[in-house]
Amino acid sequence: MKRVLISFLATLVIGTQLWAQAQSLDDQEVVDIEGLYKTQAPKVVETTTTTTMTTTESSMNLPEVPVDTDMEAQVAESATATEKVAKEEKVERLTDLNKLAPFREVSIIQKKYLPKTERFQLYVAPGMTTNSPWFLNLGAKVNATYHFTESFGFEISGLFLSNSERQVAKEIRDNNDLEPEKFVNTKSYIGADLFWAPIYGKISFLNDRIVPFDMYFTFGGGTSSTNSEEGNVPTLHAGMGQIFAMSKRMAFRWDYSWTHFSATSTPGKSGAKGTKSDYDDLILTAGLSFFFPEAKSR
Amino acid sequence: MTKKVLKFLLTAAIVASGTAAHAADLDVPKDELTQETVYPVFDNPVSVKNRNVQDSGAVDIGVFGGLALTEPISSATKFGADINYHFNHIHSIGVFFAKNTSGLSRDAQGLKDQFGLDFNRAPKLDYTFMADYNYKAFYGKLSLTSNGVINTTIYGSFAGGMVKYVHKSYPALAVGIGERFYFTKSLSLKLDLRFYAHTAPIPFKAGVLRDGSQGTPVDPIPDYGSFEERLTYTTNLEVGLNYLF
Repeated sequence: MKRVLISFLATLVIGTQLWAQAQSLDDQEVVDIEGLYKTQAPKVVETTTTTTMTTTESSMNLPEVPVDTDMEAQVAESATATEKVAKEEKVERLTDLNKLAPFREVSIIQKKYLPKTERFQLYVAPGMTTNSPWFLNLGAKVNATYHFTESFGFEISGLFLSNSERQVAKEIRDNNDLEPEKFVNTKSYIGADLFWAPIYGKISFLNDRIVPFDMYFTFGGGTSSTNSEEGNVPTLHAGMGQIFAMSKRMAFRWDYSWTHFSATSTPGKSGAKGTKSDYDDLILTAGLSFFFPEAKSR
Repeated sequence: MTKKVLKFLLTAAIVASGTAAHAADLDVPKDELTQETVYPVFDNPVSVKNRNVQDSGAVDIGVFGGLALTEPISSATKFGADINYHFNHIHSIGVFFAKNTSGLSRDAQGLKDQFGLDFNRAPKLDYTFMADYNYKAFYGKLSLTSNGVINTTIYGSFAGGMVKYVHKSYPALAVGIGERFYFTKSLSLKLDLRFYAHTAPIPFKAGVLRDGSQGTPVDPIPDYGSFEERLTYTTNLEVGLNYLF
């Protein structure tokens, strides 16, 4: 009997600690507090009592979020009334917790698995220009970002591209005696951007593994090295992409960037003067991002 | 004796748990804090799997616009419509029709203005009709500025069908990647990046394109069938709105 009790207690103490260490918060199944709350949704109590709203209460003013089941739908219907009650009454006793706003999925999605605040991000990726009909532009992109907050950062980016003629360029040279190299193309781009990541989410792969991700936008400018008369030309840049966390220090990231510049094509063999035009590049890259220093525990 | 041993073990267990559970000060950015009054915050991955968008067994209809990003000669823009049936959360199949606008690309217009080469004489793509299979491997939820939830799916697309030029049709294949953003349970923004492969006439035929506008000789107008053909690859970006019924 003693041995059984000792074994049980030892297992309880050691096993609990091991379990807690092995499971990160993101992997833990929820003790069904949410379910308990939904099945015992608070009744709407009509009250005319008006008290001053606390800061916490005032921050509950969020848009409605869709929920999953019929039961959740019913809870959602009563959510507005429940919030009204919660706003009007302060929590003073444990039983008053029933008057709080119902659980909503925003809190689940908001929790950051891969924190970025006050961290650097190094992004290295192969890529290509997706809108060049005459040339195949393959290359690589290297970005260095400092994240001031989870949402905002400053990014320096460098793009380096090769240029090889596509079949159509050879055909227009051979059949129509034209010079496709007169079409302006980009050799490299260096610039700086404001990095803005307003969207955070989690995505499940085949309804199994869950991957947290950020969706971001970049706005900025820089200079492009081209085969134009000017050579280096000032360039506007905007981009968007997603960062899928693989760990707290590494992520898969794709980026779709648009660059815009004006440049003058070089004179042809005939000596005809080049014309100045606007050019746009759409560059798709996909690769790995590394975050440092180490994320603080949370 | 037994009682003493049990008391000791229980006390030891409580002390051990208490020590291990001693909380450290954590520095959490304010924008990560939830804005709800809820029970102690927990993370529930299952909620990500719980689908707000129930597309299994549903049909969606949409309209879209697109750009043939690597089209050198013809106008790159097109418009179309699609209809899809979702067998389940993972697989869907549909058809789409895209009509190309007439005219020339910016480069082709430049060649016409500068060198008198009129690529309107070459056959151009008229429309595309394809069956489209989507493998929706990823389903997720995202928070826009921490104030609401948008549902999203990321999928691979595999399409087969035909492209119709003004004079002839050719079989075509397309592979791509796409993403839907559900603003509501039914309405979604649909983005597709597709790589098309199909046989197509080569527009750069010698001795048939000069229209005489730049002082060049006027070439005879060619027959569309006289243009040689080869395998052609184009990159297409499509953006549309779909409604799930």
